[in-house]
Amino acid sequence: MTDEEIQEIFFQECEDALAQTEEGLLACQSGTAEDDTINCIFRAVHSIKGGAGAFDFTGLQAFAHKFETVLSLVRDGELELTNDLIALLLRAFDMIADHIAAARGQSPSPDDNLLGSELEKIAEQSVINISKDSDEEPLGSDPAGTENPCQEEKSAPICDDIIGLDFDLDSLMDDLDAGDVKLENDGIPSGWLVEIYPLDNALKDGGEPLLILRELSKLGGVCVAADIESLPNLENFDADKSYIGWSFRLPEGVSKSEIEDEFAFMADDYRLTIRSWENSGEQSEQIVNWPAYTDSSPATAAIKEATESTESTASSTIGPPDPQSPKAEREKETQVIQSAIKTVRVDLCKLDNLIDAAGELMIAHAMLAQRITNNIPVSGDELEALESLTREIQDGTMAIRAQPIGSVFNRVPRIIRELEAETGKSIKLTMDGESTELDTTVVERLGEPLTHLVRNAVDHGIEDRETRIANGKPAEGKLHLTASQQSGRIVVSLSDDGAGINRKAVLKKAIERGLVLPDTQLRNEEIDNLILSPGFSTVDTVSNLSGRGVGMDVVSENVKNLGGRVSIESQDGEGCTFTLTLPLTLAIADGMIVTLGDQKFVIPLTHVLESLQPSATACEDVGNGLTVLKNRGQYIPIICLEQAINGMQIPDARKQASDSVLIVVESDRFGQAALMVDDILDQRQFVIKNLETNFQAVSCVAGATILGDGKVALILDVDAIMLNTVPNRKHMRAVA
Amino acid sequence: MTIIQLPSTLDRKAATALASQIKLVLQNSEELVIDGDSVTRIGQCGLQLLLSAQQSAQTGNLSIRINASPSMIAAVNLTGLESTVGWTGSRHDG
Repeated sequence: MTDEEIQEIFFQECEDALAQTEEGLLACQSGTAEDDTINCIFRAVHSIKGGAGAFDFTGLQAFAHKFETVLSLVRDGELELTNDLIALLLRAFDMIADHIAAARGQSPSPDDNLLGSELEKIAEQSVINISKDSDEEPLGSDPAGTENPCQEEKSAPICDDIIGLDFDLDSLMDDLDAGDVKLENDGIPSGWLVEIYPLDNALKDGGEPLLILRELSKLGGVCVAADIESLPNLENFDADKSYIGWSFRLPEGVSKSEIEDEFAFMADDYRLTIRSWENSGEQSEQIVNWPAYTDSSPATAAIKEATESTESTASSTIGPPDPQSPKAEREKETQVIQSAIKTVRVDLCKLDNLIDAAGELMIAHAMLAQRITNNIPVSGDELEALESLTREIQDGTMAIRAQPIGSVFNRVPRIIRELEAETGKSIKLTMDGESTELDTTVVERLGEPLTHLVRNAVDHGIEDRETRIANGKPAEGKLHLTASQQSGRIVVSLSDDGAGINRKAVLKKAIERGLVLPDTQLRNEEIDNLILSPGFSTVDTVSNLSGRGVGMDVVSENVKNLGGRVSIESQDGEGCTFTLTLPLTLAIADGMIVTLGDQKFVIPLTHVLESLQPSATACEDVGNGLTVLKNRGQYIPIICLEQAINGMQIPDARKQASDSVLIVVESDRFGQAALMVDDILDQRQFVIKNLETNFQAVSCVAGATILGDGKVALILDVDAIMLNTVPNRKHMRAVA
Repeated sequence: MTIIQLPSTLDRKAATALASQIKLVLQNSEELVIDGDSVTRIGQCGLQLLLSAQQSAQTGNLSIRINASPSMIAAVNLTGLESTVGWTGSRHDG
């Protein structure tokens, strides 16, 4: 596995951790948080920090440290989780997401100075309060009142640790340049003895045990022993193996879970024991006296063999294993993490179902083979069963690529928060259907159009507070985002309760921009759709409209590229709903198989409105080689495919529209047109094969598929055909 | 005398390459100077390699000198190995 691949895994885990963090923070905000919510958030941020350290993303690591410090104070009940603090934590979440994006090279490094200071201030304030309390009851004091001789010594390091005053993060980030790391055995209070044995795996995949040791050092720990007993001579040296173990002593003020957290990211890569220092007090001298280099001349420097086996030392000092073994807890936690990673990528149930279906298919195949071998006719039932299994496998395969749309919806709260801060508007966002699943590629590519829609809705759709109040609306605007599966397609809709589209202004601007001819009569829906036209929207345009503009053509284009469509419903003064209709997958689509001469073509069903056999009078030649179809009171251009697709020659294809079958298609960009074909053969799902990958890009052809008879049929790119044939929308409107 | 210049990052990858190089020098019973002046990052693998080299030299009564950078010194301080290795900082020891 390459470093880049390992890093990519880290980023994927960051996404999971971010989702978990935001979900938790939003639960805190809405009052639905559970007891473990803050702990979950802490763990997620801590994982990010751990990985960031391993990959040397120092900015991310430093900020995550500040973030988790505040979270740990909340978790430990030392900081009250107020609404203000939740808002701060949400901002910190946004910042850490920015840091991750910067680490991925997707954006410049964010400026976190201000927010980092706020987090530090909150943490510091909390510690001051604790210190005040500690004047009355010193930290680390035994609640039962047992005398503790180390009490005074403990207070200072504990406080320092909590507020991080002694930590120069920057220098600590600078890998092992930590000149301020000190081995001070004096003054360390009683606490924990932590034995760390990195396993071989700890050195792989970018792992670096010394980084964890440094984290322990940050917690106030010092190394009291290093076990080099198993270190071989160079003859047997293998750089992939781990030969050294360490014993660290940590102050009592550090909780066991804090120590375990340092290993949470790669728990299985270490053999770890954590014990109370007091329990090993008798042997502490032995532990400290690990073999030392005594010869002052490095020229003859010798590494003395370890005088005592670490294992024997450990066993003699430690006693019976703790039933609440952190190792066991760690293992449990690791299992949960690993399981989550698996289910995030592909739900194991889906894989199991697929494997079951594949097994069934093998059985069905064997039965059929036997029948054919024995010359027994295959029954219709058996073929039906085979077809059913094939479909099941197809569905199962699709399900593997499916993921919840929630991963895109999760971005929306942040966008809203940013827009609220920018515009001063107050928005209440509600979401439904986050668990709706669709193809992972569609999910990934849906992010940008959805962001545009949300920005437009908040920026320009929802009125400012004063206007809303003046119009008798609540000051808080509403935005509702939903996803659902309807008739084999995914429908995503975003509704706002804003002013709706100002059609008069839209039409005026469209005429000014030459998108429609003056005095053109358009229906409301047609006017609304104008905002999706390329070239309609500019920043300048938006400022003149009450409604929308920026990026709407981008939305339309992106959704169209996904094989989907955008529709708009707008009510004056009441709001606007944008609906995106998307395919479940990009690999399979519904299409109409048509013939042209001896060739077969597929027209994607998303474009098809209707098919008809026109009467001779329905087709009119309007000159310039353009024939139009009079259909339901509208004139729409008839496109001869042979002419539209450059270089295609089909001698046997019908040349007259009145002799042909016309497929009325619609494109968001170019309106309606009728495609001339000889006949319609079938309407079915087809598997899309990329022509560019398998052959080369062909104008007006979106791809290819293989039909039941084994022949290749080209899938028509309706938009490209209309672009080639109908130069611009103005022309079409002129016809209308 | 052979001088081996350590890279700025002494990680697993570098340690793998250096191990055979150091081994070869020691096999030839040459006096070895390992110059770590430019080392700014050193991990466990790097530490292990240098310790193993010292150990091997001692076993074979060979001469080895290690010039440790501040990063290397910081690493041995962190890991409790300062007295074990006997590195003394940015100079050619002994």
